[in-house]
Amino acid sequence: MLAEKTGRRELTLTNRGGADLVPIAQVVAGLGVTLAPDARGLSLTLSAQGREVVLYDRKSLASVGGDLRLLSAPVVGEEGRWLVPVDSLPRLLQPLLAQKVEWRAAAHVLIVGEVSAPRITVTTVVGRDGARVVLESNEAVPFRVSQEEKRVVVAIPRDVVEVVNPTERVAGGVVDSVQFLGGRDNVFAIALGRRFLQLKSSEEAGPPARLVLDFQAQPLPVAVFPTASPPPMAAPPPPVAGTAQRPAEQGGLRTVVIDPGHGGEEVGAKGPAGTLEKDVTLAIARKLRSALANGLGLQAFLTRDRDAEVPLDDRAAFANNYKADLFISIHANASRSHGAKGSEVYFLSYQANDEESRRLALMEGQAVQGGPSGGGDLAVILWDMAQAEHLEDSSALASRIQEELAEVTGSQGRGVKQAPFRVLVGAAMPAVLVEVAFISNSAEEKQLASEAYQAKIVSALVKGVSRYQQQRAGRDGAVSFGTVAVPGRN
Amino acid sequence: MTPRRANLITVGLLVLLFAGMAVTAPRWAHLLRREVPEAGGSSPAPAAAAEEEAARVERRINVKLFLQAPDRTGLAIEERAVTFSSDLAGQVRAVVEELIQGSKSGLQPTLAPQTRVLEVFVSPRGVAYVDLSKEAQGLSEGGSEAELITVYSIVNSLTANFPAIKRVQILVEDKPATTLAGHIDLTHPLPPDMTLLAAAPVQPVGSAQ
Repeated sequence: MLAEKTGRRELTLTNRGGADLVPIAQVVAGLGVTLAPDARGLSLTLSAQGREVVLYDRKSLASVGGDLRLLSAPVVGEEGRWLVPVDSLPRLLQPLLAQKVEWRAAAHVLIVGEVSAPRITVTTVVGRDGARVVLESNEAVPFRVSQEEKRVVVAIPRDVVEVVNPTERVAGGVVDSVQFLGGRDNVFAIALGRRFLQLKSSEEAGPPARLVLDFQAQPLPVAVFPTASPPPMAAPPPPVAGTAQRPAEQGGLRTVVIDPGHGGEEVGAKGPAGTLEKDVTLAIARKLRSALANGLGLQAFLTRDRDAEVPLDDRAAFANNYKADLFISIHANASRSHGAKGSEVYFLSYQANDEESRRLALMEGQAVQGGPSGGGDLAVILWDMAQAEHLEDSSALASRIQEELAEVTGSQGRGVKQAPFRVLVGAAMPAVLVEVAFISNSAEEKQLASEAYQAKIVSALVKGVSRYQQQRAGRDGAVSFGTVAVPGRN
Repeated sequence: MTPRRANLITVGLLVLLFAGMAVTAPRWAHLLRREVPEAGGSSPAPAAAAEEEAARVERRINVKLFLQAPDRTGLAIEERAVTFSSDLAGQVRAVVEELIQGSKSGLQPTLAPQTRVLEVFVSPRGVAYVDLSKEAQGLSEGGSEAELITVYSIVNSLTANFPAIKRVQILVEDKPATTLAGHIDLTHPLPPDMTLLAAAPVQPVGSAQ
């Protein structure tokens, strides 16, 4: 659907290879845009008041006022129609029309120009006795609250609403998350945690209008390590930023997600004798899981416990889903230089430039769109910033692990390094990638395949995690469960 | 006709001949320098700039290519003369194609030799987009080290040679790629990383032909 000042109209979406495409002529009809295909039908020029956007058939690139922009999927030109990925329309049309253009994926609405929409902000506060979730709207809106078995649903039956923070993860186990699902009635779903006891709600007419939901908790269990079964491996959750800090508990660590690199068709590196990286990483990860549980009493989960292909972003999403305190990705290295040997521990490199430009993009997004919603562009930006606030801890964890690895395996330490590893990008917790040894080196390949050497490596990893835990306990000594955590995004 | 008059006509004809040569020189001058390969796609220049353009045709510039060090992990630099092109995207393409060709001084390759450069764009903000064929993906070595070396052999080579290029994004088959072999994030333009230079620098080898 397209909403503009003069009214609404339906758009025809076509799905091609997983991308939703829409005919551009239908979108810009009546908006004063001239469409000019070139003679051979390879490109289409959109012009309005001297500004130009050029689309290219079967390319996921477009020229916007001479600057190249990437699109989420290739443009398709066929039978005189030009199909454009709908979530890329804002970056094409906003500069062309010099108007606010916004794609709201959840509500399936493209908004052109200034269309008034109530703006909803979600605030969560976690205390010892429960959690409070407040939905605040700048205009008076109806809130419809209903309680289901595992969740509480709030509907706001208005045409369009703008949601400042569509997803909030909540610590403490009373409420697990608050998520904007959209739909006709603009539904929010509040997932109840295992400690949920009962709900009280109250409303203030405003403005600003407020719905206050108080979720009371069961008394805190004495056991530190819950025996409850882990959350199901659902579809990867939407990217999360501004995740509520997990309250520290005597050293702060409870859950570790271990990521055995590669898997399935994607075998990773291959040693000269044929040893596969995906097998070595899974063997080490399994040993590490039991060693962390038995040695340090931590819950540990694997992103894959069999030989299967798992997309990189799903691995970090898995750790976010489990609200892991640490994410450790296990790999075996390979180099074109056959003499290369030794272990390396990586954490994510963030160039100041990148972060600045992303923050800027975020601010621009807010300024231009009047606040982020469930749009595709914004989700990417937040996902990409998930690891940013944990870099210091990630660096400390990498150092402790590398020191122990160098000690135990006797391999010459190649040190702690930084690189833009995709698997670490979306992790909303301290995260490292361990290159245990070089599988491309014949001697190290043999060691990697041996049980004894794998056990040595695992013991080094456990010591590293343990020393990091002590370091963090010293730092967070004064903090205990019950600290009020207000997830905020500034 | 007096001899004096004949001399005048001869002089006049000679002047005309020289003038004609001077004006048309840019059109045939390159024939005298046949051994120099012409820069591809140089467009015809207006008469005033034609002479300068003709001089440019033979210009070559030295570029630094970042390739795998032969005897240790990391990148080493090889200098090479390539044909100068006034078009930045064309020059970038030439450098990436040289990288694909590999070393002439004993360094190791960083890209499969079958890889083709499909497209190069340089944005006004200093981001070079390098679109490579699918052979760039799924490196036979498959490890992080090898992948880092491949990615930064391109990123470092382009940012080191062209001050206008600040960051590089590698695309594969016309599309943004997540990674080449499961490790290094290609979804954003990357700035150079000079820490990947091999520990003991290899002497640069000039291999200009």
